[in-house]
Amino acid sequence: MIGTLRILIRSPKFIIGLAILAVVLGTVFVYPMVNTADPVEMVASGFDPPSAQYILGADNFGRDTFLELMYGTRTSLYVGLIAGVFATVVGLVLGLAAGYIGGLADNVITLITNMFIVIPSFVILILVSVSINSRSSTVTALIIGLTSWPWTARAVRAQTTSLRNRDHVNIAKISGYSTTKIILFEILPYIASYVVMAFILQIASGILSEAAISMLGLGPYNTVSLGIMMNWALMFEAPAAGAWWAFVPTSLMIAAISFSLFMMNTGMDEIFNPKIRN
Amino acid sequence: MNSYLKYFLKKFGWYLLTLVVAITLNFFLPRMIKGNPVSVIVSAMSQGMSDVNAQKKLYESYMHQFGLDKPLFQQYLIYFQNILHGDFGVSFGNYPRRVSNILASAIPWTLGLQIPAILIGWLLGNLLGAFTAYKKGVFDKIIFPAALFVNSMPFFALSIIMLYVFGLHLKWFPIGGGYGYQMIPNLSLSFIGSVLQHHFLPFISIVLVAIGGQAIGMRSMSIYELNSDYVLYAKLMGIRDSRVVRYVFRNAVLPQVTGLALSIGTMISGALITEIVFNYPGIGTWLFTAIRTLDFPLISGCTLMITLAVLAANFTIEIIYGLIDPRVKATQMEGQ
Amino acid sequence: MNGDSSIVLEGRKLNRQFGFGRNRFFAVSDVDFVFRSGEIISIVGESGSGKTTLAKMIMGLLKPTSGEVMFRENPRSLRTKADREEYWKSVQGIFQDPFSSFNQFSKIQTLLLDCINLLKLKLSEEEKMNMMREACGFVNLEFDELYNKYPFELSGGQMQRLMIARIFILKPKVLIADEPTSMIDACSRATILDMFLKLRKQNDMIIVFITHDLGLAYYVSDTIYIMEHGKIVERGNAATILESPVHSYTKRLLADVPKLKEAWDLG
Repeated sequence: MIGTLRILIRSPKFIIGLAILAVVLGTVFVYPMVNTADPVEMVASGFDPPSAQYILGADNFGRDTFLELMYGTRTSLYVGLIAGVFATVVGLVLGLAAGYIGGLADNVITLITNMFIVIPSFVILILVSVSINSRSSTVTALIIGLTSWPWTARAVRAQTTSLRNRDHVNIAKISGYSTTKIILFEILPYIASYVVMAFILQIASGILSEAAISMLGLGPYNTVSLGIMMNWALMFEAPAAGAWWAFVPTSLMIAAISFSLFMMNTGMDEIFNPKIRN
Repeated sequence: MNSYLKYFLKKFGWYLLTLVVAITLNFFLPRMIKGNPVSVIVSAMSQGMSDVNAQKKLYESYMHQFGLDKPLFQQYLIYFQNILHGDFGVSFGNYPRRVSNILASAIPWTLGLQIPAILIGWLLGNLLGAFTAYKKGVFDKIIFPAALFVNSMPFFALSIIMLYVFGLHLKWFPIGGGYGYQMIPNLSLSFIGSVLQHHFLPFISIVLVAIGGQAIGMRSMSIYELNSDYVLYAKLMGIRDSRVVRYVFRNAVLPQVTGLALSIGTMISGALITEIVFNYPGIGTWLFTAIRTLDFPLISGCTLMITLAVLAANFTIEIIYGLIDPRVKATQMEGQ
Repeated sequence: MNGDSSIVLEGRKLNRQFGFGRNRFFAVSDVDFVFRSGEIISIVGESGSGKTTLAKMIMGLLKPTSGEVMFRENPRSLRTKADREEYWKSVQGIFQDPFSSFNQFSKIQTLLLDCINLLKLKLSEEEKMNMMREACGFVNLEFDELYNKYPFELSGGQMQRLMIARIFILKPKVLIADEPTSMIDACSRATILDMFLKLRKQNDMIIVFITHDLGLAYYVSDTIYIMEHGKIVERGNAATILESPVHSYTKRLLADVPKLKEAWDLG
């Protein structure tokens, strides 16, 4: 584990991604401790331009956009993280089951997985969200996770299928290992690096999905997220009002977070698959 | 050809089955959670209706059309039957306009925006990706992060910034709609010009993000190919560089065709939200309106159209892939 | 030889099919075998002949599609964990590729500790260490140098010898050795074969070599089974098969061992 981290530190791409993420995390968690004001309190008038007091001006409601951005980022990160964990766990369990058990279980799981890869997750996201009246950020995150597991499941299945017939698994079996022990000690360590990478991508796609679904007005209720801020900017015609501060920083924040996660993923990929190093 | 026909039929059958599953989900997902959304929404909608008669008519037509008094499974069969007849019901928000009528008016806009944008984005992205992998060095160090950054941005975020800069600030392009609002659709040059003008900004936002995503994929595929033994061998044999590049491109672009199939769902969904930003008269904007007004038949019609489009796109790509990849013909036929 | 010694393992009409419908094919069909205690057997065939599938079925790693394996004259059961542990205490295996036989993420001693645990002996840490030290000594390895190392720090020959150390600890009644020396350099090959024979002498163990090399089969074994397309096409005493092969496939295999006479004259 420490060895792996030491190798990763040598990848500039991973380090750049990690650094950007660290800066974002540091800012969004430290700033609200310094400025303890309520992010939804209306402190100025609508679309007040940036000033010394409010460095990103005010949004359509007259709220401090910068402070709102901090809380919005936190919500989006939370949604992305929960969605990523959920999708990774479901994908891992189904992928391991299909790949390790094989036979009928494999056929059924693979069929379902392939179907949910082509049926657009966006549609499922809309259909489920539209019928739930009070969506908390956690519920939104779970719905997103529910639609994004097939990618992980497919990859885990492919790797497990090829690992299942390896001789070290056979040796473990004839040494009396139980199935659980084989999966934990003989399969998981081999796919761990891959699963971590897939998890990072899932977080990024969770954040992007939250933004998309909130843009449609189906995001979490009673909270501020990056997608909801974008939705407000559009609904209250911030571009027409010339209030770039209501949407440009938000857009860049979404891009910066997913960029940092993609960078980390690419860095890891280059470490673990030397063939794609330029 | 016979074996290709078999491949075709197998894929066709599979996509048909997937479509049935998708339609089933389209029916059951909303109902699983809240019981019957139509009755809930009809009652919610009708409160806003001043005309008592229209309200009653609406309610009765729905009771009848969806067979709301019948058991759920029977309702499902009725729903399926209606869809096969191209009947998606009446829109709540645009009463008494039919959903099928709205969809028919919106689909050409969406297709006209998305098909060229995605294809051009895919092509340019692959060229850029291959070029970056081949050039390496400083070029790669600049292009790769730039492409990754653009790809990290949701379509709509880029759209809204483009709208602000080029539409509102520089006033180079109109800021919304499919054509000048004072115009009536016809085949005159001025109307077509107006359509193209309105088309440009949403089009370019989609193309840019698509280029970013495809370039990243193609870059890593090309590097993988460039590092492979056959390239080394070809170089040792003294085969001209331009020729090697052609081999590499051909081998790297095949997985990118599959890559397009896998990402097309996300691309189409993202591009739909772009429509909202520009108030473009396609499916995306209608979906947005439908969600805001809880126009359930229209939501359902839109999601079904999106599913259908994504499945059709995937199917087309797989069919083309089967034609161009020699291995598919050889291996996929034999079965596992 | 040993016509009167007891039957340890017996296969009755073993079949193994892969795939369904039109893709179905039989990797192993209607294979019978009898392994008597103390015997050395070779199952010889080219790649794709089904010999590895058969080996996996004997080891209990693959379920036969039909047919039965008799273990000590009773139908073999692998249903419960206790059944399986009992079977694997008696029937063990060694595989072709020592590199893939090791879990890269586990320390080397794990391999041997697992065997000690399988035996369910109540031993102190010190006794376990001694047992592993003894097993490594048997295969000419220094346990204390290997302790806490990872497999990638070992050579292929060392890895395969550790696999034999495993067998030394378990002392099974049957050892299935699937091409155990094919990936080892020529020098260590003879040493490793000697270790097998030594083990067998100590424990009266049956060794079943799975190999494509008829020469090796003749050199080490009493009984030879020749396998082609999933079927046993010829079986019998090693010398008899070599001197007067009946089946055309056996003759072809023999032709691939051109310098056989000289080779075993030297031995």
